[in-house]
Amino acid sequence: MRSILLYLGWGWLFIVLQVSLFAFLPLGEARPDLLFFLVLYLGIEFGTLGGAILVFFLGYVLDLVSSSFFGLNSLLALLLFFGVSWVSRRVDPRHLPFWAVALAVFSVGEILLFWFWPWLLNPGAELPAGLFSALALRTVGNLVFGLPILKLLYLTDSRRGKESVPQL
Amino acid sequence: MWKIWDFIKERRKLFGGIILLAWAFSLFTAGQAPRVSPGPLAKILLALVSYPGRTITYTLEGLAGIGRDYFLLVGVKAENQKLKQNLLELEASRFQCRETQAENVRLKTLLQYSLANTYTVVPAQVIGRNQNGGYFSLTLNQGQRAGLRPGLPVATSQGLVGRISEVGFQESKVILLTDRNSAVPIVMEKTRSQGIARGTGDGKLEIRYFSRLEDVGVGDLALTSGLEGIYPKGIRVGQIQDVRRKNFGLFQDIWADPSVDFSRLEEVLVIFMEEPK
Repeated sequence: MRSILLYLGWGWLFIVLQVSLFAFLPLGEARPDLLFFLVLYLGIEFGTLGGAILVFFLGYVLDLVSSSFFGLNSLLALLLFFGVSWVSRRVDPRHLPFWAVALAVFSVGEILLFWFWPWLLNPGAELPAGLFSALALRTVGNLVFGLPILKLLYLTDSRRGKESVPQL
Repeated sequence: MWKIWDFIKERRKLFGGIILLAWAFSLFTAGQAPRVSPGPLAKILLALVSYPGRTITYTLEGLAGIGRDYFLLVGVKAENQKLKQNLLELEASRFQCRETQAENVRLKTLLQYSLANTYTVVPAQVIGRNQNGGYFSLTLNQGQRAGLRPGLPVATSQGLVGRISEVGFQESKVILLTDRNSAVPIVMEKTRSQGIARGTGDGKLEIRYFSRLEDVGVGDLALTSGLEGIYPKGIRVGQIQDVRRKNFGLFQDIWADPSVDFSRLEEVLVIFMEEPK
């Protein structure tokens, strides 16, 4: 319960920063998705129903606050959570390279989902221009910001040192 | 029944996940429909995020605004200084133009002066004025390089100024008519009687050696006589201002004002006496 509250707090802070501070940074497509880092961490750490509910809730809040496509963030957060959770059960997640690869792979996956969902719903529409440069920039941004944030989440994890928590 | 419940309970994560995904997907598909006003819970959630977000945004915007204003002011200040500098330069340029125009008019007047048609002349600008006791002189911006030498007469369209006393490479000194050491042979315009005009040292001329019998009145014009070959003949020297005819002696006491206002001289002509055109 304590952990849930802690990650709820982190989620709230990340969403607030996402819609305020990070909107100001002149990073363009390289602007990282802070909630994505939390989803990634929770996918590895809380591969449980509680984690899924938390992720869905945070995605829903982000939808309420910022999304022009209501429901997209909730759905993507949930899909990413299950994806990460599934992978982390099959690969030893206790190493830094895993985190870096996971960040890169899932940030590409996230942006592909972001860009392709509307296209899948409306197949006649053309794919947005600059898709691949956006992919590259977002991946770089996520890697640069993601590793320190994941490390921060790990350091503040109340269950640090326990068997289930990856050692970074 | 209990078996079904146990089955679901054992796979609660799977079923929970499916329900959540279905819910998310329904939200997503409903998201394409026209938005309805959020419910009370959604409003609370929105407020919980948007208020601190707004505070951060306003703070950042304020800071960015201060930064923008600061840089804008720095730019405006620099632009203001540049414009002021431009204005000063334009003022100086305008002043220069006016001066050049006035100088042009004066030079045209000088060149129309009959002497310029009779003798070779060199126009020169007055670049200095010296007054030491009763001794008056001017400094001109022409010297040896322009062919000037001591003794050459200097005049304007108004009349005689004096003669050159010293010559440098690029400048020369002119002893004025009113200097104590100056003496000019004159002839009265009306009576053609002759005398010598000497500087008194106080800005006036004393006409000497004028016979007591000569008829001279206030306002008569004194011209250069051309004697001794120093000054060209017929240049105005001065206008009689005071005549004192005594009952004794050979000469009258006569004072004259110079024709030229030396205090306003800017350009003069140096006359080459021995080189008539």
